Parts: sequence; C-alpha cells; structure tokens
Amino acid sequence: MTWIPRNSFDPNEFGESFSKIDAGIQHLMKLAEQKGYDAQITGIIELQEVTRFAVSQTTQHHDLSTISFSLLLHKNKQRASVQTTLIEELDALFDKAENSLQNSPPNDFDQGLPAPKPYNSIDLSSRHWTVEARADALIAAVNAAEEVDPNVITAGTLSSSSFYSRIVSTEGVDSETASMSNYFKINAITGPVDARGYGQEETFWKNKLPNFESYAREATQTAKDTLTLKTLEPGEYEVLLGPRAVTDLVNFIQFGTDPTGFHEGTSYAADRLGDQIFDPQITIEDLPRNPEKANFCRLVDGEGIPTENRTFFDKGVLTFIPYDSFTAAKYLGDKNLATGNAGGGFFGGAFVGAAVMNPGSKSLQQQIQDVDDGLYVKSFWYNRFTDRRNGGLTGLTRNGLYHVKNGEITGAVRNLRYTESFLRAFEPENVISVGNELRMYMVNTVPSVHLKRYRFSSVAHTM
Amino acid sequence: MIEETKDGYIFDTNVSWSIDDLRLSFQFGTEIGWRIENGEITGLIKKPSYTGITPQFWNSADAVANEKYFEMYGTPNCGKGEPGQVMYTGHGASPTRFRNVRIGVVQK
Repeated sequence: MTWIPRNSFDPNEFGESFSKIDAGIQHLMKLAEQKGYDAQITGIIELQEVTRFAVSQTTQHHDLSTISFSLLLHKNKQRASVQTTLIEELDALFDKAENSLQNSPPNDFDQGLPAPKPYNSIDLSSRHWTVEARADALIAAVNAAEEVDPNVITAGTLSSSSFYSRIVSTEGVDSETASMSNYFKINAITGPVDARGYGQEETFWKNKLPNFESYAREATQTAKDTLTLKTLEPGEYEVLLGPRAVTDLVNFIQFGTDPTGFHEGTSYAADRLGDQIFDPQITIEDLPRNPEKANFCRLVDGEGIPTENRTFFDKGVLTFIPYDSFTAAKYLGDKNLATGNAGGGFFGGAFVGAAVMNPGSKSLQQQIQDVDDGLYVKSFWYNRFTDRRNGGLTGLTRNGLYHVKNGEITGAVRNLRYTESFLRAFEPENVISVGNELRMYMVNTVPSVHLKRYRFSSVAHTM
Repeated sequence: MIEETKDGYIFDTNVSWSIDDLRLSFQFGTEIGWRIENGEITGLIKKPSYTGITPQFWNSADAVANEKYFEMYGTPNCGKGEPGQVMYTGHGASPTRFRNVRIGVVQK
C-alpha cells in the first residue's frame, strides 16, 4: 500500500495548513508561469512538541507549528532562492526572488531544474510521543536519577517533531515527503557549586521506546564520577570513543564529503573516490529510507528527487559522493545525475544526511575490558575543522572522560582538548573494534569505536 | 609592530574556533600566516593554528596597533543556552601582539 505522507498528520489540526500549502504553491507557480520563469516551490509544515525540564521539574510544555515556503527561480542560467514564513506575503516573496535573480551572475553550466523521477512511497512514520507520555517518561527518568544520587539536579528536553514538505516545479516535479522523530536529553549535575560533576545522555528515537531510566542513571553516575578528577598529561592515548563522541566525528565526515569540495580539492575526499580511506571495520551507509536505523528520513530530497539507500563507505572504501542538480550539472555535465541528496530550501547543497555506521561484534563492556591503558571518551564538544583537506579537527572532551587500565575504569579524568584528524583516527590498522550497539543522533546513527591512538593536545580547564 | 618583532609570526583571518564551556581552553585556526625574523617578513605559512588559556593569553599581550588599523568584525550572530537563544554580536580590534603563544599545524 502506498504511504501518503500528509495522512500522518491529524486532519482536524492540519487540514487548514495543507490547504494553505497547496494554495500557496499554486499561487507562486501561477506567478512564475505568467512571468516566464522556471520555478521550484516547496511548502513546508513543521510541528515541534517540546517538554523542557530543569531542577528536576517540568518547566515548559509547548507546541510550535510553522508553515513556510521556499521559492527558487531560474531563467537564462541565472537563479535565486528565497524563503519565508510570512505566508500571507507570497507576492512580496516572489518580488524578492525576481530581484535577486536579476542581480545574480549567470552560470554557463546551469542546466536548470531537475526532471521528475518516479518513486516508491514507503511508510516513514514513527511513534508520536504525546505530552502525557513525555511527562511519564520524565517522572521515571528523574526518579531513576535520584536513586543513583538523591542530590542530583536534572535538566533537559523531551520532544516529538513532525515535518512535511511538498515540492513542485515547472519541470513537472510534484513530490511529497514527511518524517517524524522523537528526542530525549538529560543533563545531570551534582556536587558543591565550586566543584560540580556533570553527565549527559541523549538520543533520537523513532518507534522503539528507549530505556529512559537507564539513560538517567548513566548521566547521574557520570556526574558522580566526575566529582573527583585526576589530571593526565596531553599526548597520544589508546581511546574508546562512546557513540556520543563518534557521532561528532561522523558529522564531519558526512558534511566534509560535499560535491564542491570533492571536485575543487578542498575536501578530504578529493581524488579519493574508491580509495581505502578508513579501516575495513568501518562501513557507513546512507539510509534515508530506513526509519528503523536513521533519524533524517525522507522519500524525496529538497528538489523532489527520490532518495535511495546506499553504501557511503564500504569496509573503509569511499564509494559515494552526493550531488544535487546544480553540482551534477557543473561537475558531471548532467543535472539529472543528481543523487537525491539535495538539502533544498534553507540548506542548499548536497550531503549524506542519514549516515548509519554498521555495528561490530563487541559490547561496550567488552571494549572497555579490551583497553590496556587508555581513555574512555563519552562525548566531544565544540569540534571544528582545523585542516579541512586532511580531516583535521580540534575539540574538547565533555560529560565524562575516564582512565581505563587493564580493562577497568580507574577514575574520571579532567577534560582534554584533542587535535586529531578523522582520517588518522579511523585509518586502516588504527581501529581495534566497533561496538555492537547503535545510538541514533540527528544525522547519523553510530556505535562506540575503540582506537589504538588518538591525539590530545592540551588539558582543558573544565571539570 | 613588525619591525619591532625579532622572532615571531603574523596570523590572519580566523577560520575555525573551539573553546571550552568556561571559555578558558581555546584553539583557533587561521587561513594564513607570515614568518617574522629580525623585523622582516621572511616567509608564508599555510593554515597555522594557535592555542592557549584565555587569561594567560590576554595577559601576554604587549602591543596593540593604533586606531588606523582598527576594524569592526565579529560573527553576525551567536547562540547559547538550553533552549538555544541567538543574538547579533560584533566587536572590533586592532592587530595585537602576544608573547609565548603555543602555535602549531596539524600534521597528517
């Protein structure tokens, strides 16, 4: 049975919104046709239902529903793109797009908008996390945290988000997609004001309910553990990266594999398609059509082109570069070689948005037991490229850094700054093992990874 | 300032920022640098980075260029907090010299 995306939304609540989307698209399309432009129009509905808590109490339940339009105009190899949430002012939006286009330089390679392609509409829906269920989860989580430490202060977010878009173009594209996603984050703080310990756990989820009490206990235990810290000197260490640390590195791999960087030599991936870049234990897939494994799922991309599940890194070999129609025209000579990875609207460009690193065979506990003398990093923070071409990054550890010796955790360590390249971190022979449990984050789903060496360049001055 | 510098570097155009949540330990990458030896520019450096601890770094400043070289920069906006909040930001500066700063370039 074909899944109809807008049927995932309550018609009593969203019927009028869908009517506005359809009417807005029709109005903008009419203006474009009257004035002789190629046009791609996207109508978007977003619903965020959020529960926030602080000092272990609910502080806010709120729902935010927005309608927005994105308009791309193209004519004579010139193009411009504008967006608005002011849905009563679409004529003004069109005027802005027209003005921007007239002031944009033409690109000789621009072949215009992509042609439509047929696609299968599979069910991407997920469980709707109601406000009542979020409240129950919060109570359970706080109670579980206080069992570990009655003095813990907890704060965080529980949310359920829904997204719908319809993309229509003068080339004949008329595609719809929708996705739903749930999110849980708990921060735990304990100890005296001038010497606090901190922990944090978070996850996205779709249909399978996470064990919120377990996350709460773990965050609280981390907070307790980090009340007492030893200081280690910076240097190269054997390291076990928890999923929250791995997700940050994979973010940079995903967004560092862009078509412009690939062809113009600024990406780590430039000239390396088909190369053995990572260890053979690293396989990463792009799974926008697998809501059981990936968070950022969609039937079509930002240009209305069908998405596909693909292999991104096959046993460490780079096998895929994403393209939208603009970069496909520029670098491949054919706009219709676009891969269904366009960001569209606010995002632009093309990227791997639903990366899933395949799990390995070892549990986190087994990986800890395998560490001779190294560090267990729960998460990274404030990561940035230092050397984009070589995958060089810097950042800090946060919310739990532990010294592990002879397979046992010996205590928490003061946070360190790292300066390391993800190419070097995941290169062949440096990966000892990949964990068997996946955790879902916004744009990737990853396990823990045990590495032979990882470079820490200085001591941070935070707990 | 260049003529008065015996052994140092000029770094220009920040391209990456990383700092801890107490705003102490930082590391910034820049786009380009020049070597200074005995008051003269003697070479070009690609993408140098520098790191430090905020109070020590700023206490090591020993020269600030004059008003003629002041420029307004800053990020167009900056966000913090849970839930996140964003506001416009901006700040100006003149070229400034710091002593005994740890510098480095990532080696593959």
